Amino acid sequence: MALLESVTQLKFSRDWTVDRTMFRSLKSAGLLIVFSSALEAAPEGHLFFEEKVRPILAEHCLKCHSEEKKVKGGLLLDRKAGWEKGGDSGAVIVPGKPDESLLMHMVRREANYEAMPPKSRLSEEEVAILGEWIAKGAPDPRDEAIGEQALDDGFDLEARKGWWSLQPVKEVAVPEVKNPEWPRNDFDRFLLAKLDEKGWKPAEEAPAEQVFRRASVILTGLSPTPEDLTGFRADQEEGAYERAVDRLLASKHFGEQWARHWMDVVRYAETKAFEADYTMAYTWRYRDYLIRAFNEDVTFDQFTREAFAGDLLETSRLDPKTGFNESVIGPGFFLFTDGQHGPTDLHEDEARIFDGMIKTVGTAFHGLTIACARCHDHKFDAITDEDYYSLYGTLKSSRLHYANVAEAKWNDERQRQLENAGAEVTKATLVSARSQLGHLPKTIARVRAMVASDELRKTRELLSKLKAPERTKKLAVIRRDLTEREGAEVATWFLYLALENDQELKGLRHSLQHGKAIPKGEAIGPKFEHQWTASGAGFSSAEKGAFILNPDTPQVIVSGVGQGHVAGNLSARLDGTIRSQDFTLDGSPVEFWVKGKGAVAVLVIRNFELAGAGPTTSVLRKSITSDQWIKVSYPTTLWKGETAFLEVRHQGNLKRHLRGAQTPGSPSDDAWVAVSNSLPNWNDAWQGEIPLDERIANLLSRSDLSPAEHEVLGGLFSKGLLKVDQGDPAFAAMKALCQTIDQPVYVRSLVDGDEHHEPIYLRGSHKRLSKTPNPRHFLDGLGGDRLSETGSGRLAWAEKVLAPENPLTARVRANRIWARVFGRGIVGSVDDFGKMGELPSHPELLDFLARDFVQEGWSTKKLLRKLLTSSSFRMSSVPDSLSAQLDPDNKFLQHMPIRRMDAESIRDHILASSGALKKDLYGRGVLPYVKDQPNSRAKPPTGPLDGEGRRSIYIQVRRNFLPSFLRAFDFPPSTEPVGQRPITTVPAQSLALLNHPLVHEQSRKWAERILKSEGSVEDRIKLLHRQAFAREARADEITWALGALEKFDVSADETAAWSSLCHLMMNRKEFLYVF
Amino acid sequence: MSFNTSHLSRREFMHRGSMGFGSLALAGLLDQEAQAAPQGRHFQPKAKSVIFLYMDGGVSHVDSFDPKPLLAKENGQKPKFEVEATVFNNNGNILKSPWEFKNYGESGIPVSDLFPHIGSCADDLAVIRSMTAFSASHPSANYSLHSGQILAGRPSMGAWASYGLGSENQDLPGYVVIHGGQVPSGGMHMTGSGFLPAAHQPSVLHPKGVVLRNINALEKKVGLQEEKLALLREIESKLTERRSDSDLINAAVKNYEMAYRMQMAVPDVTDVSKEPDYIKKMYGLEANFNNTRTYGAQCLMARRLVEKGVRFIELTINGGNGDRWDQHGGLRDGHQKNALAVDQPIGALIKDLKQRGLFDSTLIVFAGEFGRTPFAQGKDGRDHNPQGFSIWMAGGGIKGGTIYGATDEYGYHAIENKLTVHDLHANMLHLMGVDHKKQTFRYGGRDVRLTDVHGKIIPEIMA
Repeated sequence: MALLESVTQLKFSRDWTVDRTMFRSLKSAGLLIVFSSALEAAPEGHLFFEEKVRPILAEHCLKCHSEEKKVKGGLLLDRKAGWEKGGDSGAVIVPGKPDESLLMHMVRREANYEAMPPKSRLSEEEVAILGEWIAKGAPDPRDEAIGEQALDDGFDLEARKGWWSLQPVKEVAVPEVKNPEWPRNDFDRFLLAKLDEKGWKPAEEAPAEQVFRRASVILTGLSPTPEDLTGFRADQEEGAYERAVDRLLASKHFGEQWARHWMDVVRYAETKAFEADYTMAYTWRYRDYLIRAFNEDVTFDQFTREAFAGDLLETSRLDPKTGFNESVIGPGFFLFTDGQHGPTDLHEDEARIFDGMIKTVGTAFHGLTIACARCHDHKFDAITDEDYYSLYGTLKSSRLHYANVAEAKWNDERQRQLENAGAEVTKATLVSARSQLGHLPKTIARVRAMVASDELRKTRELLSKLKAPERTKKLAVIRRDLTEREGAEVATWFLYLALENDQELKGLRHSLQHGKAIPKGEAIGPKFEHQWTASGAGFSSAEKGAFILNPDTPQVIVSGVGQGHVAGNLSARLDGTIRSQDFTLDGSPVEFWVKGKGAVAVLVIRNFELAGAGPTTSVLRKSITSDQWIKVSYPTTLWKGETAFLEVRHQGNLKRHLRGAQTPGSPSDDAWVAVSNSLPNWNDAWQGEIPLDERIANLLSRSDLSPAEHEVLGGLFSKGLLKVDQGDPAFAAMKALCQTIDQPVYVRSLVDGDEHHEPIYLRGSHKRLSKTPNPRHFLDGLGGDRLSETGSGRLAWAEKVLAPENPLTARVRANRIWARVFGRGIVGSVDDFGKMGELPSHPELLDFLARDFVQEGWSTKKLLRKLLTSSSFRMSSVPDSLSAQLDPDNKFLQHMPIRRMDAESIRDHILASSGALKKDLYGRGVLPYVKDQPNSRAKPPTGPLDGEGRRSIYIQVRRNFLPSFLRAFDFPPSTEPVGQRPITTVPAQSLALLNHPLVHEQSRKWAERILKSEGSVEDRIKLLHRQAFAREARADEITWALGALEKFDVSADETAAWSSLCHLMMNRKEFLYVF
Repeated sequence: MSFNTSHLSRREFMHRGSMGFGSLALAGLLDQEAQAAPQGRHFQPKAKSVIFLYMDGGVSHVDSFDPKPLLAKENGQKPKFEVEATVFNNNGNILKSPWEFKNYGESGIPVSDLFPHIGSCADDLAVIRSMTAFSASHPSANYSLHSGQILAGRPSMGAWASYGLGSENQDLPGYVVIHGGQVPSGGMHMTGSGFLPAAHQPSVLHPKGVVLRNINALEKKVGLQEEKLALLREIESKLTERRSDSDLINAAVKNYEMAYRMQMAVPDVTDVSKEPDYIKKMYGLEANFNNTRTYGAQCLMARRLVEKGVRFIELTINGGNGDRWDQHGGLRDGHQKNALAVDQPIGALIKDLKQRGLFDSTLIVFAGEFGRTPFAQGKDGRDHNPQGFSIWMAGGGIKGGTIYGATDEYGYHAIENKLTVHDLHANMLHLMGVDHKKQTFRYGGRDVRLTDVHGKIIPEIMA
């Protein structure tokens, strides 16, 4: 693979001139080396080599750098072609230039270089010989080529493509079975046929209530309540169980359980681990999205499209209740990445983070370990390193975006209404201001008189001597006195002159002070060349000038924008983000102009998300609070050569990483922002000897204002120099209209950036990129078709995932569902359908299942209904002794497995039993209980012990502070995808159930609840068993419980005794195991 | 001792499902084959236990184990070499060490005045001066020091040791972190089990307060918990009779016996108050500096755990001086306080293990996540230096009095026998009798190793 580097540049354009198949075959044949030294050295050079150099190489180097022994660092020194090619660190010898040759730096053992040889030291004489040799042009007679072995990595794509999981999903006939009475559906027939083959009989049917509990835990994560049980028993008609399954599928808790499974697969978490464990704002909305999606049975093909490209779909799926955009939430999972705030190498950091994303995508949708191809072609599967970097390129062409899902309710009609209302308000504002023109000459004259009498100079001098608190106090006194003496308008104008120093109105101040126009020709700041793309409804182009309107403020016009892009000018609730094209940092500062309120401007280098937080990256994020244009300037010397883009976020403070328990806060109704590459020359607006009042009158009456005049007029309002009377109905109308706009509701999603193709990282090193192009394409093992879509190519990727000829997607998904129901997948390794994974136990059944899943429209619920109503599912968990011996893993499903509830279900069941469980859905998560975890700077305040009674899925998943109780029961680490949790059985679990304060607290609550119930002690014991196990108590259990209460001295302290009994119930195996 | 790994599926169940805490015992309970070692050893071990002294924050190697006279000579001058990007990028001039170095013992290993007690054990140490780290930032370097990967959430070396070897003591966990109070940058989960079964999570012990989460019974009434357990045993025995077919259920029931014994054993083994006075004094339990007392208690706990056969013990430092070994400024004061906290206890630990005959079967590793720059950060601090730094190893299987590898004349880059954390991990596993190339766990489509595809054994440091 290292050879790729020396490939001659292949032409690369939008309509790929290099065919991918040809590229692959060239690569594997090792024909990509095009390298030869032009000058052949003279024979005496060869003599020098033979006499002096060869012995040194033989003694000190070849042990580690020859084809016979080892090829350390990818470097061969046993032939000329070896050092010509170079090693992993690049060229080692530059013929003729010893001081530029890495080999010399190393043998001289210089600082900053790895010393070679590592364990011995060349003599000074030997070092000198090598130097002389290189100075001579490194003559070397050893002309063997680099061996085929070293060239060929043994990767044969066509052979790899023969793997079973890459073959088309077959159409299979349902097999015959010996006992046609037993099966209830075709899945049963496949399973039974296999048992027939073995000569085994399926286990007996389990008691109905046991099967009901099983179904309830699998479908909703909750054990049936006594009420559920009563309902189940009440239906004695044929098909009662099927109806019960239907009720469970329709339960609102179904979505919670199945969302959680998917959260494992996409390594859902709300924080970024590392030093500060930053919170990613709004992540929990993805969890809610999943719950709704599973409850509504969004088909898996739609779900997949949304996951890859929900932001790019022509028609978005809307939440029927809120009308909000659902689809755009889908891509959020990509960015559940971890992150550190102070990486010294942002490219390395990007490579690490993208690796996690690629691993997740590969696992979740393909059942393939694509991430294994980061450093070389996959060791076992039909996955090339081009595949890996193709996906890398796709991700790199995508950018993190806080999308506003409420925007889906916005439309052209409403936009026009708002624009009209804005125009009316502007008109009314200008009309209102014109009514003041009458007394403006007098005000101006009076201010000029005060300037002449030296009052201006004195006031400035007085204030300049004072510091913050005194200055403010003094200013208030001056304003009060001035207002009393001169009236409010004169006071405002005079103090404006005394205090402000803005650019737009420089001409106004000059005229007030000197009575004449400012001199011509002063240049206004530099012009930049960024191309901006806006996302969200908020941004519009202000090329003809725009006013920032806010009728909730006295001045109404908050600012004027002559040119550029503007958001929040009509309503802060219309949100947006604007981004530049990609560019390469050359070390000089990156700059542009911006003004606004509540906005944030970020230089995003290598997609680095935590800009602004770390020691060196703190300069990359700027808050914008200025009604004057400011030049944002980012120093970039540290990141020379990296790719970057600019991003300005309206409502920027809401869209960011947060510390500890911080929350993003609420959108503010006065946020706005304007972005521009250049500034208008305001001085133009002040040219010519026209009296000030006439100039202002002129601005207020014209409809053809220049960009500079727009800003000047905006400035007159924003400084309060022109007053507005909001008597006109237009103001109230606009306020009312703005109130009807939904406040933005943010989710973390993606938008497309520039189309990008990532080169291959030789041996996975971000410092060694192939010079050959690596056009984006779908996985080579699945055809390798090029994805020539512009932007990210995510939508095209999604279509390839769902293409009928892709055999993996349906198999992988259906197998995941199967595994959740039967405790084990038909392919046991649910995340890996490659060679390192397991082979299917029932290959025909798998294909039948996959086909059925697709034919039924990719419906999760339809498939689950079939599986849960099968005869197989209703089998008892008691194995047949023969099968137990021959098939201890129960691969052939002779009986149903006993299962331990998931960590979340155990906690939920504890709360449900005690009556503390709240069953409401959705919302921001509860802080985890972390009192039992060591203190650190990143530790959030502890949440309540009982998590406010909410289901476990609503406890915040903070990577550095996972809830210890859940973690004891195999809650996943949430940093990497997990399709199937390991189920461990360790004493730490017993200790948690015996001694965790939550268990004690809830035991007491449960006791209090029981003691409030009607009936005898025996009735209460029976109720206890129904609550705990969803079945009636056996006689021996009643006796046991009565005895226990006695031992606990029930007559002395009833609640304490019952608490102890409840505690025991929680520790009984049936409490957390499902039979 | 059998070094074979059994592949019976029942064993498979054992090692996937029930390993960790007293796993050997549990295996014994289940199938009466007490030697069902978790993943197993590959050869005779030199060290039964490991004590990992984690010097969180990054000890300055040029101020401790790697003297560089050139720094004194060029003190205050602009570095004559190319300076690479650092975390704060506030790089100053060459800074000489504020401490003197002395040659200790027969080996004459130079150790600075920061560590007189450790220095007095010089002939027991193998000082590695050519260690390198994968990252210049704390969390990434911490993650990789623990797991070999700069990623959050990967299994740590302790978890791998537990996965490979379990515990020798059926009442105690195999893998313990004794937490000094300073949570390392990146979070305590860097010591976690990652994708290995959660059974290989460390038990985090605290030298003060509740020693282990959930280890104390909350019942106020004497005997109440025992009464509960007896009742539980009674009712559950009916279940295990009915479902004798289920390993899962049987193991879960048996766990209560183990849990109960742990409740007794853990507080007992960690109670250092039972130690004689001269031992307490030796470890610094009566020192003036509070942090010395805490770290002394941690070291003493570690020795007591080693005596009971606990496999892997990691000690985090305390943050009582305000910070870890991370002196971006105030090098002299910060390093002096950190050294004051750990030096005496570590010296005592080595000597105490020796006098008990445990030193030769216990591997001690002293390492931070990186070293510090030979030039100043600001005026009187040092930034992170991942390109070369020192760690040391001592005890089981280690050739004392050894210096291995070298940095350049400034101590900036390792230039001879450069090592990575993979090499460190390979040697640690090796000394525990585990071939780092053979100990694997199937994850993400690969048979993953602690050492990834790297790691070399260093005969030069082995006894």
